[in-house]
This record gives sequence, C-alpha cells and structure tokens, in this order.
Amino acid sequence: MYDSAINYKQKMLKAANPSDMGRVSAIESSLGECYFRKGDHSKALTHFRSALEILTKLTSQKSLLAEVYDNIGRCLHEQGNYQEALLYTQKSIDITIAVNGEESLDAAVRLGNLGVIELSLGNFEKSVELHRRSQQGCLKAVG
Amino acid sequence: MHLATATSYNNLGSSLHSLGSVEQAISCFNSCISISEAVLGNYNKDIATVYNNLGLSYHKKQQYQQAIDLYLKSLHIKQSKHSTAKNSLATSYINIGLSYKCQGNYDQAVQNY
Repeated sequence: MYDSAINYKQKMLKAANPSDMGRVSAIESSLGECYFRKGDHSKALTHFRSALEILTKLTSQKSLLAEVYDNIGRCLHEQGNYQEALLYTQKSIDITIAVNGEESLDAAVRLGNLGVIELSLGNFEKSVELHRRSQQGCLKAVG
Repeated sequence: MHLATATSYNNLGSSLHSLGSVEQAISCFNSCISISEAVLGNYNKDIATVYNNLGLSYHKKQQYQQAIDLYLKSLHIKQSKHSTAKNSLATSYINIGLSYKCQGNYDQAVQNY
C-alpha cells in the first residue's frame, strides 16, 4: 500500500517545478511520512531533512515546518538518538505554540511526543509532567 | 472523544507505570481503552497494545491472574481475523509466561514461553 503511494509521490516530485519550493517541500514531507509508516526510518529521515532544508528558507509554511521538525524528532527517537530527537521536537513545539497557540491539538500532541522521548531517556517525572500537559491539552482541544 | 486524547492517556499511563504510580497508570489505560473502543471498535491492534500495558501494571501490583486475563484479552484481539497485529503475538506469550511463572504455575509458564 505504501509502495504505490511512494511511487506516485516520487513521480509528483519529478514533475514539480524545483522553484516551487512550497510544493517540493510538501511532497518531500509526505514521502517522509510514507517511509515512516512503512517503518523505514532512515529513508523517512532523508526526506524530512530535504523538506526541512527548503522550509527553513521560506518565511511562509510555518505549520509544515513545525510538522517536519516533529517528524524528524520521531525518526531520531525510533533510531535511538534520543538527545538529538529532544532538540528537534522541542523546536517543533516552540514553532507550533507560536503559530497555532498553546491550546492547539498539534501543541498537545507534540508535547506528548516530547514525553515519549523523556520516557526513553529514563526521565520518568519529566515524562509524566509532559504527558499530563498533553492529555489536558488534547481534552481541551478535541474532547 | 478523539484518538489523540486516547493516545495521550496511554502515554501518561506508560510514564506513570514507569514512575511506579501503578494505580494512576491503570486508570489512564482504562480511559484510553474506553475512548479507543468507542472510536475504533474492539479489534484494533492499538487497543491490544493498551490491554497489554494494563496487564503489565497488574503484574507490577503482583495481581498475576488479572494480568494474565488482560494479556489473553490482548492476545485474543491480535489473533482475531479482523486484526492487523498478528506479528506481535510473541510479546503476549512472553508476558503471559512471566505472570504464570510469578504465580508459581510453571507448567503453564513453559507452555506459553
């Protein structure tokens, strides 16, 4: 299922105008998402990093930028690179709060992703605190 | 009711379990299960994982029979024809074996390992 999606998106990427940076970064990001779901975290990371490289040059697309930082954090976590994952996920949360506000669902979910990393690092109290904030945020945002 | 909230309960439960706050962890896993079952139905692999987590918390409380019942529930979901989680059956058998061992029920433990 993911392979046909990947094929299709690769074709979209080839057909895209390289100067349309918003579109190219969106395709790179969704390719990263496909590989992540497929369980290929290394390829996912490559595509998310390509998307990030473009997005950091743009002044718009801040929501996608926050999403890509979060996804890189998830990839690094899966690879066991917890310290670096922490930096990317924190960066994602900072942007998410600036763009969507502290009470958005995205902010709540990404606080939870930070909690998952802290748990892997063995920081149980910090992890509980983050997950409490995440759970209360989710309840407020979507019930 | 939203799956993001269910996930946040499961995450909080896992952290509380690791911290040793087992009663609070159990309450979080139960909240996660009620939301997930309402949204996804009963035969989803994510719910099987949460039943397994709940079993781990009862195991930590040394309520081994309760733990075994929950692991079996998780196993039953994973084995069902609707399930997408057939590849994580091994985890269930290992946990069931461990709880039987702690109960002193070595024959059952060996069968599950």
